[in-house]
Amino acid sequence: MITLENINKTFYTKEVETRALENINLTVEKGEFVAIMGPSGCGKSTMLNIMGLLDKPTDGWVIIDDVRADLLYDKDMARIRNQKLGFIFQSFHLIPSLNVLDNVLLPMLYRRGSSHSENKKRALEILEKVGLTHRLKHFPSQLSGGQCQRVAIARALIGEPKVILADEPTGNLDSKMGAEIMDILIRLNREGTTIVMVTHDEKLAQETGRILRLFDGKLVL
Amino acid sequence: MIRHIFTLMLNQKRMYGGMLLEQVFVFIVLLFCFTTVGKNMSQYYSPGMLDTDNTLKLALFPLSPTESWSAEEVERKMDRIVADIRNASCVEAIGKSLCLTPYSRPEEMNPWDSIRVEGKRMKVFIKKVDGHMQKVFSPKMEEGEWLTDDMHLEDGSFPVVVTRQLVDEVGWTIGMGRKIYFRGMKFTVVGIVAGIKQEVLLPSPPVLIMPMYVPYQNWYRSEYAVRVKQGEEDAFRDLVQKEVDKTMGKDNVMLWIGDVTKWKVNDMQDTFITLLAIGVPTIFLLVFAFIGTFGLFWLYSSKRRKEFALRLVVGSTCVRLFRFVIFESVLLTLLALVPGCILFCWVYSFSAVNLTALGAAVGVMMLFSVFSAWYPAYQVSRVNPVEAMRVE
Amino acid sequence: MGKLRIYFKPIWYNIMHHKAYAGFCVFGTMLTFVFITILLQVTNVIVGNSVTNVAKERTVSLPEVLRNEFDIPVKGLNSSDIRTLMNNAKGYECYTCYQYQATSVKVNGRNYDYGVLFIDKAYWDVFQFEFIQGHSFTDGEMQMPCMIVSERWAKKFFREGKAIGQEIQFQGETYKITGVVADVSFIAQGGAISLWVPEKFNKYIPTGNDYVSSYVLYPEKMSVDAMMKSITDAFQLYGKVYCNVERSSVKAICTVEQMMLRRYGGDLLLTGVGAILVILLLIPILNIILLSMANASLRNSEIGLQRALGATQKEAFMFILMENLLLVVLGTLGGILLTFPICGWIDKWGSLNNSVGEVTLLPELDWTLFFISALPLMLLFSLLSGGIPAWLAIKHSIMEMLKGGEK
Repeated sequence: MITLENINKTFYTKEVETRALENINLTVEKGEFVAIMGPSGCGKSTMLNIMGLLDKPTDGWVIIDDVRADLLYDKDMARIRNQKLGFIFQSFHLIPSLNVLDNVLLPMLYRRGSSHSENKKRALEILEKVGLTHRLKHFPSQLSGGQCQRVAIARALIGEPKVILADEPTGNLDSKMGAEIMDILIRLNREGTTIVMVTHDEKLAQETGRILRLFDGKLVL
Repeated sequence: MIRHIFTLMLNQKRMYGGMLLEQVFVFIVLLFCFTTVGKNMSQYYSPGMLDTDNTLKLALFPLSPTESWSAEEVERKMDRIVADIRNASCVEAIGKSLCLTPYSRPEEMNPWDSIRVEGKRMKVFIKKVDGHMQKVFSPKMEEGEWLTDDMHLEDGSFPVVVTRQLVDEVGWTIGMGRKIYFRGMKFTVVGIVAGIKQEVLLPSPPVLIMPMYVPYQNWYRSEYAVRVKQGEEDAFRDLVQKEVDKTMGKDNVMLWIGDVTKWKVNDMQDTFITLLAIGVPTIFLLVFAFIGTFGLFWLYSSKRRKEFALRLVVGSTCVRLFRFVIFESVLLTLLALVPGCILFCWVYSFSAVNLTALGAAVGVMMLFSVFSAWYPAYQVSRVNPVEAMRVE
Repeated sequence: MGKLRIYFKPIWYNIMHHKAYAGFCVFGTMLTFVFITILLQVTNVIVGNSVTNVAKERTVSLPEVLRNEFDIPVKGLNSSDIRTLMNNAKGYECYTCYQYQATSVKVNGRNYDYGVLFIDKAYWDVFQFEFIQGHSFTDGEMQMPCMIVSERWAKKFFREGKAIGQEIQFQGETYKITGVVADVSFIAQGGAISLWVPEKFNKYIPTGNDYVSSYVLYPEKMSVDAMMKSITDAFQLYGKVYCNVERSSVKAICTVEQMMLRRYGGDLLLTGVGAILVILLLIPILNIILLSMANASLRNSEIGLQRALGATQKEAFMFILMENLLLVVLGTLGGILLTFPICGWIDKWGSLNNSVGEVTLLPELDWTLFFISALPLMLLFSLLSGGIPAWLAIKHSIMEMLKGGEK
């Protein structure tokens, strides 16, 4: 599904060179639920961003569905992000001026050939799955944290992605809401969606299928 | 995409509403300015404007008219002086006419008469010229030729040049060779001129231009007009004053010289001031609104960095983001044009001038829209999604 | 003093740290108030009582040409005709006749094209110009070649504008300057002229005719209807008796006040001026409001902190408004100051290539008008452009404001 080969990521500033990732080699197979763990600043989010084609590695290859993605043009990368990947963020990142339904429909705006009525139907199905049909016209400022994250999950799912990349999805939630979100993710994984999740919560990581640990930018076996 | 942008606008009425309202007013002001300017420009450029650069009008007045200093005698002496100075180095052309020189007086004060042509009675203005006046004022001949002093027709009729306006009013398809009967005299049209405007912003009326030798009299005296070479005006004034003093003496006549170029400026002064009074505040409001809209788009784009980063994450590209911001601005402006266009249809007629003004105003607003959002759009397209989405 | 310093220090800090926004406010206000000042002053010249317009509602203008009821010209009216006509008019104080001639005058050895007004002695009674040097024509001077010039014209040709006793040649005569009048806006009656000469010296060159413009001054207590009836009856009688015109057209007979209104837009003048004022104010106000609101988040945190520390809503409101008022006052003062060079530029441009006279748009600013109109407009501008964002800012709860005004 997603393969990282000899990935290195170095951040260069005037004063110092920071090696965020060193010689990362990993493969995420279809249907897996992988947790990436590590202390703060170890490079977890950087690795997720590279997987999600949001950032380019200094060295190394990113292969998604047997295609070397790190060398693609910007528009092709965007197409992969739109059609094959789904993102969930710690801070939800909902657009405050769009309601729940419009936020969920956002990725379909960038997909050619999809009809609005079909997209809307799919969005409603997904929102029913995450239990938010009664909040369609509400705006993010009118939702709780857990509800916002559920909207973000729905947004990540609308494009029928092959992989969901979740960066600390329960980081801003209390334990009860965090548990609800985790349940949704586990359910999705059981239905066949591949999930890569960054977390520093050991308990949550234990509920996944595989745990990868990062320390100082290197994978620890 | 259009629906999406409309949704964004409806959900942020305060932000977009203010900009929309501002652009509505700016467009209305722009429309008013352009239609006024257009109307005046079309009046200015209507056919019949004579070339009056470096042109002076001369007139000679007997101070104590006696038999030897009657108006006719003075005119004869002046004719001789004019013939003498015609070849002077400072003179390009000098001619004689009756009421051809523009901007001297309102058109209605010029000699006019009623003539019957093709059974139709109409009011025409009468002017007399010599052959040199074509070089002085360069009237635009559409057909035929200007009058010359020795032009005589075989059938004994007098040659006459008419304006296009006379031809149109009579309804002739072909004007050349037509006969006009006036005060017991027969005239044949030998030339058609585009027009003769006596006032800058009034259209040329129907005019009949006949040679100086035609025995048509009215209360106006002949006048002389001279085109001097660039920078030679003072030299000409001194030359002609010296000649007049030499030929006629200082005590008997008075030479009067007027600058036709300045009269043209005077004629247009009120209009100039009106256009300036409309144009300058319009430009100020447009520039002010542009800077304000630019600033607003820039500020709002900065505030929406996370939103734009998210759009990149879910599949947009940098180019699409750029276009998105520009499109937002253009759509807002298009909406702002609607009230102005409705007002236009209600207030103004659909003449070519007004429609051109509308097109120009729309064009300016579109440019305004694109340029005020261009830099913010460029900034947005350079958003790094990783940095923008970093948890604070 | 210390309290004032603490109050104004954050305001000044804010201005210094948002120079682009502050500059935009000041610059925009400055230009807005240049236009507003000029517009109000010019409107005052048209509808108010400037120098020569003092008696505009009781000065009646007569046409140069008598026309019949079909508006066809019948006869040009000269001074003698007007004298005969006025013999049948009742109740007036005085009247004047003058004729304008475009001519060439020789000053300081060079020829210049200027317009000259040939006037009678009553001219200065009807149009009450202010003499800054010399005096109006005496009975003796009406028979001598002398001239009165405008202030601006005198300053152009003579050092320090000292024109009395200087000589000018035109039409074969040498004229001595006996008076200088203060400048009048070219929009006002008689304002576009620079040279006045007694009518005796009119050679009717170049017009070739002796048609005159005539103005009749009526006493203060007389109503406009009575004035118009008196003069139109006399006019009609003259037409009937001396020109065999059964009914003369009286369309062109009107008071100077009506004439000026007609020339500058009629009944719509004040509506038009009002509309222009609204637009000149509205767009800058809108812009400043929108920019202020867009810039609000940092300000909101600061206001939230002040409120958390004990400031009331009113105090918070005044704090934001003060900053805006400071910028607007600066801009307005700049605008007033800028009006002078701009009017000077307009005068220079207007006099260029002008063969009528040395013209001026606004010889001086009417400060009373500034205090009763521009100053309130400035306060309104500030209240709207600063008050609306201030009110929007303070209506959030303190917690929301501490987060930058975002929910």
